[in-house]
Amino acid sequence: MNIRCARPSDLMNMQHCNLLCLPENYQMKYYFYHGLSWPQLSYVAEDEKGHIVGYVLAKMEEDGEDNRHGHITSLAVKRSHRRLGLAQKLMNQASLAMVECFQAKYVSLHVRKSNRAALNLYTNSLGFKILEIEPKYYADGEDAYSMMRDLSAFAETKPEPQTENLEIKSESAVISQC
Amino acid sequence: MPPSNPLPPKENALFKRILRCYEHKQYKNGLKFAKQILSNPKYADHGETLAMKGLTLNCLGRKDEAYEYVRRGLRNDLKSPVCWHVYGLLQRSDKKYDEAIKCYRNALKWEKENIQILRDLSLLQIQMRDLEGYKDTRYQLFMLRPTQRASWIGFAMSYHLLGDYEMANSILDAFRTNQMKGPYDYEHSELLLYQNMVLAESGQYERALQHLNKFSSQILDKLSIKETSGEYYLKLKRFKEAEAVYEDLLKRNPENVMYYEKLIEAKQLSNADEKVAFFDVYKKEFPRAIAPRRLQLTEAHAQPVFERLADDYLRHGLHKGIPPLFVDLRSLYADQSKADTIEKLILQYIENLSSVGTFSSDAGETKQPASALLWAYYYAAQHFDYKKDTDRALLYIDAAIEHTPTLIELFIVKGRIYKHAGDPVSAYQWLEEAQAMDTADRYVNSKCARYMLRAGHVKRAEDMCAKFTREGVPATENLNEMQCMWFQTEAAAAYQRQQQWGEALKKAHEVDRHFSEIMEDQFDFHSYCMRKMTLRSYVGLLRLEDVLRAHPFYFRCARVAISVYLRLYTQPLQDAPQTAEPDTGTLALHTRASTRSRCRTRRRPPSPTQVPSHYTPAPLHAAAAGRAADRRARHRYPRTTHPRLYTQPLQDAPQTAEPDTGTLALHTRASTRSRCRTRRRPPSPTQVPSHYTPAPLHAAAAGRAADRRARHRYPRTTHPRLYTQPLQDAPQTAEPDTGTLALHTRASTRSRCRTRRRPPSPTQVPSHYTPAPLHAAAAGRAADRRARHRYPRTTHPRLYTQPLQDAPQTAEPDTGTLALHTRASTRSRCRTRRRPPSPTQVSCVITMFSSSPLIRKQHVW
Repeated sequence: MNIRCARPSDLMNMQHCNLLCLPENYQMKYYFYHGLSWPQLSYVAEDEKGHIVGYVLAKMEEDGEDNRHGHITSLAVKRSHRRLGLAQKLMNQASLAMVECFQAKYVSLHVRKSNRAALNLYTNSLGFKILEIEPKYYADGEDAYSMMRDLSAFAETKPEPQTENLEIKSESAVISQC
Repeated sequence: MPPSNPLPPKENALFKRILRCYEHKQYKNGLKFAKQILSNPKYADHGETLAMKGLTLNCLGRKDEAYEYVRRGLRNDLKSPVCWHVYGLLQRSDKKYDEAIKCYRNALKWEKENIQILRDLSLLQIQMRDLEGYKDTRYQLFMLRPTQRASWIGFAMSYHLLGDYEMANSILDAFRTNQMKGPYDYEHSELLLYQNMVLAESGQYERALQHLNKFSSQILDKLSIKETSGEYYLKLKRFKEAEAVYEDLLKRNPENVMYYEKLIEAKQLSNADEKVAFFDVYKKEFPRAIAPRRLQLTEAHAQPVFERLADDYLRHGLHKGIPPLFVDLRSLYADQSKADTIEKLILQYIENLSSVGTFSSDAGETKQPASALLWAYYYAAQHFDYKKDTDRALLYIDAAIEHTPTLIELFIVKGRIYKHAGDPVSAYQWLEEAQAMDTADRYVNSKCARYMLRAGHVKRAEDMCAKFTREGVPATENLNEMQCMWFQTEAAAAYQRQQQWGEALKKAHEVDRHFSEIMEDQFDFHSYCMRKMTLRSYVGLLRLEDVLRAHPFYFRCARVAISVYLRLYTQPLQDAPQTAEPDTGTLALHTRASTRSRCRTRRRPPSPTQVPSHYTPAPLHAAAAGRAADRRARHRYPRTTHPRLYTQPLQDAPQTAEPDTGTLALHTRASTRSRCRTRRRPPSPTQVPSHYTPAPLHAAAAGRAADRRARHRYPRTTHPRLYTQPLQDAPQTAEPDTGTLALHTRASTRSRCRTRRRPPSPTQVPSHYTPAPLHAAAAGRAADRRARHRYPRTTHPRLYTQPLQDAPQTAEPDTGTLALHTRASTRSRCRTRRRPPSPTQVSCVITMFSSSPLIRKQHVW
């Protein structure tokens, strides 16, 4: 598996991966919007044939100078490629880029209340905290946890802030949707 | 803009209100004012008012009337830039960009310096990749608005896209030195990186490197700085510096395969031992990273070294329980000795784990968790499946399922084994099982639906997908809206196999429309990216769109559509009796006797315990159609072709066309066949497994027997030609079952088929399909329409790599209704009409403007 920054030519295959794995889908234009507005923030994991097996699609929320923060629009790893720690590695790369290129203070995301595996990844492996519950956030009526992760550790030019706690502890599923 | 046919003040005021209404989307009011002007008999033919009325009607969805009014207006006032502009807008809204460009050009003839029209024109030109025209327009915009940021960027980019890197670079340089001085922000950073990209593409790596180093403190994207400078150092053979850069990059992301490759290049390591030692260093440095451990396996060639490393790798994976262990290692199997080593290791683990609970028989080794054996079984099943040893694959996957009956992955693999063995029906049934165990996982759901489609169950697949699509709308509608192309390509192929030509075409066209949409999507980014300054990605987008239809999804659907259209052309639907329904009842016309008999000896039908509980083998209710579909679908497309095969289907076809003739040299098809006939024998009683029932006992048994036979029809073959002409070929390539049937001539076989074939029902044919005989012209036009979108008028240099295929596709512009010109003539007219600025002119201009520090950072575009 290879982890690298996404290029415009990856975006269609990210859409395909998203449609295979997650219930929340977007049209191509939305992927273009991400890839062409914040080209540094989205990452892909690919196998040896160059097929996308996981991705993180991220953006910046630019409401005000001192509230600059990143947001994870979508994160998925194919079930066939779980337990390699891909989701976590993708997230860390994207977070570093948010800090470097856009001076992000923190990164936010939403996750389904029922998605315990993803919740576990975010809280235990990536240091996200639950901010609040957003009732009926998803189209099917499910609530979302609104979560955030402080990125000040990334600002100190240290790429991997918490070298100890990086192992994925979740049982299997590592997907989320925001 | 002086109208060529001026209105008196009162009417002129009304006309201005029409324009305002249009801008504010008050279309009804606009029509009212237009009526007030036109009802005056003196101005009933006023061109610009008629044109605006048409444009307004277009916004209300009354397209036919819109065209009528706009054309009438234009006819009445051919010298009005407004009329031409309006006609251009109308065509543009209809996505007839070629026509719109012509209209804008005409409008500009009467009003040369209209900024709005020039901007609109430039967008259309870049969309259509009229790069020369784009350059001219950007030049004019630059001359008219030299103080705007976008003027400079667009001007520079127009040269870049034409490959004039020097000019692009000097424009960017002039712009940069005149921009207001920092605080340097993201946009500035992106601009510098874009300029650097231009330098690199010109091949001047030394200069690009200097540029990068000079401005690195102003560039925020540190990753890009490092990645590109590493590239430059390597190109310039400054290996020491390259080494430092890539080591730095690895610290940042130790999972990037390219960094290791480049570092090896920088260190100039060539032999395998050196590379293995190299990875040892990084395994230590990044103990949690997978990449160095995995890449080391690729580089290790000496058997003992590889065995030691593979042993470590496998043990780690099995101990930890990493499901993708096999897919991770699969590419090593290209090397037979590596595959053998892995097989030896895995069998040894299984033996020891099941007896003493450790990986090896060494005393003192710590006991492994019980799951290690499970993962070893799981690995072995995939290993033997890869080796096409279906029996052993099933043996191990069943052992795994017995060990842990709740692990979804096991059922997915079991389904895949059946799929590879050529039994799409059992395959999807096992996937159904897996899906039922975790209904919240869309990946398993998608896989299950895909397997259903392979087995020809389109409806069931839709129902499966519906569990994750928006409620209240049919699943297919939502999937289409979300551009879910994997589903649509698979469904198109499934319908094609069932000879539901209309449905197959419908799906193929849906995919084609997605691609057209994605071509459309770039439109907004032409102006957006210049504001955002994400110019590198923008160029990436343009280059992607240039070759968009090379995507495997498009190829697969195009193949389906082409073969269906060819089929409908050669055998139009009136000749209903000829359209095939290849397989009915217990006759097995198209099976290959020898294959079947070989398979019979190898395979067992699933034992009752293997069959999922919900599977009803006995006579079924509505399932008759389903079973027919199963029978037809089984084995048509096992081991699906890699997309690359689509690129050279024709060359391959004749070579692989003949069914295996063993060691015989190839002869004409007929003679081969006749010889085959003599060679083939019905299976001897000893070959037939004891449980095989030769005579159909009752309907269900017969059905199951047919299933069994069908299952092995084309086991583990991939035959491109079968995809392209499945039906015509079927009677020709198929051997009648010599075991139970008398031999027939080809003609008689076909005539028997005819009586059994049903024409597709009208509901199967999409509304846009004209069942009347497709004339050559109609077919040609349809093909044109489809082909036109492939590489729409692009002149990008990369297309020169495939000149032959492309040439006919870019040929004809949409004729529409205006008088038409070929692209060549359009372009030549442009050349004669407009003089592109000469390089010296441009540099004069640049110096002229760069002396005035007026460039505003403005977002007007």
